[in-house]
Amino acid sequence: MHRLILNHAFRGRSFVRTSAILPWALPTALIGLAWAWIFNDQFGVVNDILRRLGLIETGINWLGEPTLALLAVIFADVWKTTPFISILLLAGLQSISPDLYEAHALDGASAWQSFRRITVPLLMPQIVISMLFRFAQAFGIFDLIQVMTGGGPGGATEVVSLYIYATIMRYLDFGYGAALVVVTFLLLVLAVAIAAFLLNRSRKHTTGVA
Amino acid sequence: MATTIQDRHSTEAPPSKSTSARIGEILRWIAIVAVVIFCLAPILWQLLTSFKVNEDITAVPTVYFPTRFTLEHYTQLFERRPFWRYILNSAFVSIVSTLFCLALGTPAAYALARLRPRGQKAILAGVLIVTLFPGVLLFLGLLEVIQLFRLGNNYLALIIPYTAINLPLTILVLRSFFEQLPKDLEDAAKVDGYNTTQMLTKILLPMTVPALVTTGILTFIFAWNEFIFALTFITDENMKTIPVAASQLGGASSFEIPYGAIAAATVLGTLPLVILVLFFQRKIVQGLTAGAVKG
Repeated sequence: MHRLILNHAFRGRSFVRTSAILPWALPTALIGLAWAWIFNDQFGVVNDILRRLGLIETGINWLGEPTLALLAVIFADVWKTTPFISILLLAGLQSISPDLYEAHALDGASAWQSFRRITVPLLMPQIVISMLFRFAQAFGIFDLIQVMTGGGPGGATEVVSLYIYATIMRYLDFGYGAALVVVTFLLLVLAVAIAAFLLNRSRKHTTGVA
Repeated sequence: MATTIQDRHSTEAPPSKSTSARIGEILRWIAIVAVVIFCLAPILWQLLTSFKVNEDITAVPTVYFPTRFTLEHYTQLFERRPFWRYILNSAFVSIVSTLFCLALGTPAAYALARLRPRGQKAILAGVLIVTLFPGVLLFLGLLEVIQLFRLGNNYLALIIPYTAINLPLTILVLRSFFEQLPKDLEDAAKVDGYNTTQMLTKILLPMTVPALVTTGILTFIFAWNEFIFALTFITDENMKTIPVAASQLGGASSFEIPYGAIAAATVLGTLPLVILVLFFQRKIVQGLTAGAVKG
């Protein structure tokens, strides 16, 4: 939805685009601080809104409960990284010729149909590329979690990168740390290879459709 | 680019369906407003927090429209900590690595675009793959290198890795720029009697400036935001960059968290980037799409 909105022309579009890419441009560590404050168990604004809506009576310990902490971190990460995906997909959307939509509309297709038949297939390469990017980045996520939860509570949000960092910097186990790095690296290479394979297939697929 | 989008929009909305078009219009505006609020709210909330007095910050229920404002949290940052240093450190490291990046990346991109060396696809793929790997996989290796060259607590410990990490994007963006540049210009310059060096510096370089600005902004943003290298390679309080320094702000005791000061630090650390995005929004989008999609 984000990306479809950005592709439309309207007054104030530049303001909307500016605010839409802002999360991407800001330092993740600082954004983590902002979200930790928003999800604060005592004074956080999320708890306050929920209390005012009458949904809860006492504040939820967002960053102190394993599942909730994970959800909070994911939410903050989505907020931070959606703009980047939007930009990638926006470029793809802009490269789709408007003639296609026109011809499709003349044939009596509805907006939803042309979205499914034209937009999605032609955007497939970009979708796969952005998924690949996002996957690799999210896999190595460090700043946000380090700042928001430090991997806690009780290791509930301890991702690979935090584990590697702690192994090396806290326990000073360089050998084990290096082994972790290599294994993670290989896993990522595997993921990239699979994604590249999918990308190739979707390219063939789209040329067939067009 | 803007005109083509506008044209497309006018062809997309047929004039016949007035009611449904109007509903669509309203729905779209709701969606737009929701996106803007979603994107800005956390930042604005931090901004408001940074100006609240401590009693309002920790008030339950939350104070949304404070009547008292204070600059105390900001002055505190500069009095209790070398916050100017943090800002200068971040600025220095980011600017220098950006310049290095452009100085090294421009010739590389030009060579890839014009000379089309054998195996350029492999080079580009290699360059692209490097950008995929997160910093946490690199910092151990770099740490060893830094210890070997005794670069710990030295700005070079950040400048060199930032340059290296941002080079791929620089090369990709600039390469796609050079490929769009007509080669006739260069040939014409040669016919006019320019030698290669003159052609490059007098004809090509001035035209490259917009692309250099675009990539420079991206590199600057990445360098300013980088966390794990800055956290690991710099331990001297006076050399820390803003993201690291802000994440380490603590209170007088471990139970007292200085929410106001943290908010103020967040605002100061994000301000330069907010300004950059405000002025160069279009260029940033262009740069990212050129770098990511064409590669």
